[in-house]
Amino acid sequence: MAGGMEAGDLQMIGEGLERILADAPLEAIDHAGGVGEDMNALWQTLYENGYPLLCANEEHGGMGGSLGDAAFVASITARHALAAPLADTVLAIGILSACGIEPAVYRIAISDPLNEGAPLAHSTQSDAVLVFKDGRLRLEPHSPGQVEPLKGAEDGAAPRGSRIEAMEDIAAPNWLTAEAFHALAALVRSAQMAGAMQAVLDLTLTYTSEREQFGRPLSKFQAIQHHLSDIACETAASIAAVEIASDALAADPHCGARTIEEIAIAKIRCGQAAARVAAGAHQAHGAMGFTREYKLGRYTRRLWQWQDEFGSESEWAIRLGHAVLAEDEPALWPRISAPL
Amino acid sequence: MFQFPRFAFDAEADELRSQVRTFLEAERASGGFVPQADCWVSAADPEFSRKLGSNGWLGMTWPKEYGGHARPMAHRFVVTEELLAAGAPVAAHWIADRQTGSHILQYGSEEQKHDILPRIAAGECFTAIGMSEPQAGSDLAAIKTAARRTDTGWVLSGRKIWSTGAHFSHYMIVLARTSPAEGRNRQVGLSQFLVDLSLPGVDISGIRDLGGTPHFNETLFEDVELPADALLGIEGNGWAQCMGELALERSGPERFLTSLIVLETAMPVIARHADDRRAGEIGSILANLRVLRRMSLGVAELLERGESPATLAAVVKEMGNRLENDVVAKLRGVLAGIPKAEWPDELGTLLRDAVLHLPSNTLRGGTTEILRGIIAREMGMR
Repeated sequence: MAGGMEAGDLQMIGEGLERILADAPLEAIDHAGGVGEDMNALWQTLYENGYPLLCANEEHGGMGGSLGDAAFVASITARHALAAPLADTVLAIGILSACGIEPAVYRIAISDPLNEGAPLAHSTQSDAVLVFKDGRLRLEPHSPGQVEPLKGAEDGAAPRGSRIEAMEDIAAPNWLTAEAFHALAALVRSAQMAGAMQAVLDLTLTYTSEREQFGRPLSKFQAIQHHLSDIACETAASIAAVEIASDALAADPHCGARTIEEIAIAKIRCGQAAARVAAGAHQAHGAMGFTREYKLGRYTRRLWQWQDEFGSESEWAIRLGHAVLAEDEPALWPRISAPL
Repeated sequence: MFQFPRFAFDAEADELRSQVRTFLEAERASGGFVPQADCWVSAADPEFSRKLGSNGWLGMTWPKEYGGHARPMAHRFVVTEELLAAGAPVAAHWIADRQTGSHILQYGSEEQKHDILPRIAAGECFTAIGMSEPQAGSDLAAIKTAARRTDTGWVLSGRKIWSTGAHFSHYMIVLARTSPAEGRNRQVGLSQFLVDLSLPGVDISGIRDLGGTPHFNETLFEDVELPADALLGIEGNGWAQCMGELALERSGPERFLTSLIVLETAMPVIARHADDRRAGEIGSILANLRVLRRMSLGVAELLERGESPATLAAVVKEMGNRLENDVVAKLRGVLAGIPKAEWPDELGTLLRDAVLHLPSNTLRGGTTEILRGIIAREMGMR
């Protein structure tokens, strides 16, 4: 597996992505349900700039990012409320590449091996879904007719709707257990939550400084300041939590038990923060935030969705707690103080 | 908006951690201490502090010429968090080691540094904080204590309150007014003084806390004559210096680890009654503590770089205090349904003490409301 990129390279890749997303009509795409011409054009741009292949090995035409780098991209896409499965695709292609498969660049959703009945994120926006079952990986065709095929394919790795059916089951490497697969996706969701919370913080700061009641901006009221302080604290904690998990994954690319625990911590912490941040932001926004038209909901709806995907904070907490309580000498301190 | 830098322990820090753990296990086994909740405020044991001093675990980051050990902030963090996690009796030296010493290092005279710092590092000199007054709590700039210049130094008059450990301390850093406020700007004209508490005119009386322990005090300064070098730092710069002190005071592991010992003591009996409800609470607490520690380490890293991360420290304290209280509340829930007869002997006492200390977590060192105001100010809301 790739050992990840230099921090500076990753930074540049992130800035490029920020520019593309800042120029895209993301609100219109969202209101169109994440499908349509604008979406296809944006995806085409993302594809041409190589973003879906961020975590693919270089011999697979990728940028050689680590799976932890998927979290970095996920956070950026979430900050812009991108209604396209870029984060999931980056992770899926990264996993396939790590398993030695030269990946075709579809829009890929990821299904949860530990929760098969769970609704699939991006079900209307992806060509394919990555399924992990009984130690085998499979890319299944998905939602035919919902998404346009990508144009401009130049090499064998380029997307073709027909190629989806051609992919056979392949045995996953030993390290890639259902738990590890589930955890990798949970890390992406955690990073997305942290990114969306940053946007919610900015949005709420702006709104409360512009909206006036009783003759002064809402931001001058102490009760509102306390909501914003809370949102900022929870957001900061979420960012820190994702960093702990991403760093652990960078040091242990095969996502062993200890790294899964760090991801558990990130998903728990971000899930808890998401609830608090969404509630505080909506309270500060008043009725305006509760409209479909205003953009706060584009973030909070996703926060509530991501909380539940790939294990809710409660599910992860129960699993983590049982792991601690099952030790011969159950204690929290060795885990709290474990190396970062 | 609030980014906490990454932080890594070196191999020496890992070695140090195992030394501290070995020491603590031996002390506990030999009856050297009984673990206590809120130990950095409630459990003062000068003898224990001297042992830490002779192990080289106080004044760790200070230069060797002042009795320090010239070690990085990370090493001090290791020692302090291990002591807190064990519920060790560290209250005697805590404030001196955490903030007063560093403050003297930054602002004191050479004579004071040579005189006082080696004694703090040896665990023989303890200090207290003189900020709040009966009429000036959260509104600190409203203090009335004043110092006026004389031919030989200063005369200090006023009253300080809520000073933890003043009754066994040797010095107090007192915030006093040295010139009038300029109109509405009351933060000017304040200065800090290093006051020897054995001087004539100093009268310390204990105040018992909710649980009955006389841990904090009211101190009366009645025309106390101070030498010229009692002025700490720059005259009129007291407010800014105070805020720097608070960055040291607010971000450490004592802001989220005070109730851990209670939970840790309960872990074996919780494990015997493990179910999903209990496991879920344990997992949640673990996640919160691990992340907050990472943030607290980020502040330590900034302090190491010589910055004064006052707002990030406020973030750590605000979240940490809420978490500490949450830990106790959740622990009561986790223990529900487990017969008291099965509890470890010391658990009942630890839990009771932790409950009795709950109100102080979100008050001391800056209330939650003040901290939120600081955070809001950083975001441009005030």
